[in-house]
Amino acid sequence: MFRGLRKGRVTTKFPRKPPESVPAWTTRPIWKGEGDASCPVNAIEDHRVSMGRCISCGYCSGAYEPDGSVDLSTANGKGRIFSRSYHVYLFDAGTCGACNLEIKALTNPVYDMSRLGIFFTSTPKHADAILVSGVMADGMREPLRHAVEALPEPRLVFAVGACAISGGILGKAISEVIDADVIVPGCPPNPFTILDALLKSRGDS
Amino acid sequence: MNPGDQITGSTKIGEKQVVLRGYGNPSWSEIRDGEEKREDYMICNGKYGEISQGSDVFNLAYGPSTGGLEESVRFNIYTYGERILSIAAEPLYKDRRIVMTGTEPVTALLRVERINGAYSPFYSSLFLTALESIGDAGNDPDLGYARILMNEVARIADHLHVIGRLAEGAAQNVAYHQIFALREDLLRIVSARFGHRYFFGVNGYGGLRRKVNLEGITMDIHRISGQFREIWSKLEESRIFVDRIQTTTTVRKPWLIGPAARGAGFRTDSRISSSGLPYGDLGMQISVSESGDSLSRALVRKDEIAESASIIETVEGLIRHVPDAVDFNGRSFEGEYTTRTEAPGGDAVMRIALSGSRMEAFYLRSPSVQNLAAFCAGIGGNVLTDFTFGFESLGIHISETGGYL
Repeated sequence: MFRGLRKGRVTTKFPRKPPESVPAWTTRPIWKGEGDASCPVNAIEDHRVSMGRCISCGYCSGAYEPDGSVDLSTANGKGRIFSRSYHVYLFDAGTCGACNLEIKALTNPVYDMSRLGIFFTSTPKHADAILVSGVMADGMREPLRHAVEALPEPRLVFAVGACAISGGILGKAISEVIDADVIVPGCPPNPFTILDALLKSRGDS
Repeated sequence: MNPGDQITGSTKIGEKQVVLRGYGNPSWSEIRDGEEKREDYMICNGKYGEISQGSDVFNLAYGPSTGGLEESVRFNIYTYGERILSIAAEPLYKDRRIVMTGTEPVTALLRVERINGAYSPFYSSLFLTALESIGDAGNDPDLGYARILMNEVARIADHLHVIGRLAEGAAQNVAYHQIFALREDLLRIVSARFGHRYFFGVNGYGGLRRKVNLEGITMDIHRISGQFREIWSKLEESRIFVDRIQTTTTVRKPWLIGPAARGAGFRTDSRISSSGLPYGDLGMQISVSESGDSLSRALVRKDEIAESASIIETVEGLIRHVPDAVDFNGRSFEGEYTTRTEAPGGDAVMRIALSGSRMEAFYLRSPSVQNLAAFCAGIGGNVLTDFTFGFESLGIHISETGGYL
């Protein structure tokens, strides 16, 4: 405890202030204006990168450079239906583990999502939103259906990471089973992007 | 002979390809045939997970998706209410059946990086070491040292994660939060220097794909290591922490690998015995503890964080110029190669075979398969509250227990 006091505040000032540290290659690659790049997942069209497909590999780095913005998530019209405390359930549909680690990082003292009224639940029955990460593994189809059905209405479904959104480079998207209300790009999305998506989906500006 | 010291051969048992290692129990992994994988888990479901019967015994199903588990896995826990009589693991719910055969090596590399995000530099180094051997790309020592550096940073991150989760399970919330804040600090160092928190897209054929900044990284890592030492010194003074993890999930089997083996007194580490990377030049020390319980495994990991920091200091001093990666897209490779490394969870073995410009076969014996079996073997006789300590102390990543097509 004394060590914690000596170390001082480690918690980010985000969202009041910009993020302190953003991993470059999880943000949107922007065309430098010359040169071409081949994308292993065909995420580039007319020099624009589709973040739903981008796997953050950086193979386009000769002609593209990341913009460093964490504002990457998009929501359909169903977003912004919660305004107070917000309980979320993490569902691993078939990840490499990295998305889970980044989502779980939101509970560490640096991000501390509880200061913003966001909490994890141990069961979907108590959740307002489900964060689905990973490709749609065959063995997780039924558990995902059950988990989403167990969520009380109103509810939000997040697709977190390139695998969940588009299947990435490994498999199928979760849209095979359920449509997502909010998509959070990145491979894996960095914790600031996930936090930003949660706040936006709650209606925070 | 210690377990994990050598692979004694590769053989077929029925239709299954099995790699024999060490002595005694053969450990398994599958090559290409997705349909037989559940049977292969007999090491969990059979001998060590045999169903206990008796008065009031019931199956407590835990998973595949529930709070407390970071990844999807189901356990069938046979108990009469408090003591775990036996346990069977079903990790294949989230099996992605990653397709490797028929792909180009460029695609295969991207998939290899995503087998287990936490072990990404280990597996990409294994794959590229094998590919470079097949392609006669030479053996640049600076590249080898750079890969060692990335691996050891990832090892520290994984060990912090394991010990942090162990502290969380043992209700040491102050330590848990401080360790995870420290891990976040480390990942930000990685992000700033390598452009990605999990090293995706960094490793390349014959070099690194991205400009990385290694200058002064030793100072950053020693700061992390020193702060962890300080947290641990307080943690080990906590009788609650020690009492909870000492003597839980004790396992001392000859087929153990990694921190589980070293925590049970086996002086084995494939970084020294047969790694494809130049660890032999570094004079590294192997940390051993004797008891085989959750505390012993944590003690080994604690020592390895300091040892990894020391290795990083040595290799930073040795690196002169890390070569840029060579574009190998469309290049023809012919041949096969087997290589191994010591991932944070233990010995990992990869075999690849290529024909033309395509992958013909891919095989990975990942440490989590063995560690899951170790968990099943050791948890019997413990009470339900010990489940977390046993599971977390073995550092199991379910993502890498799946199969490859």
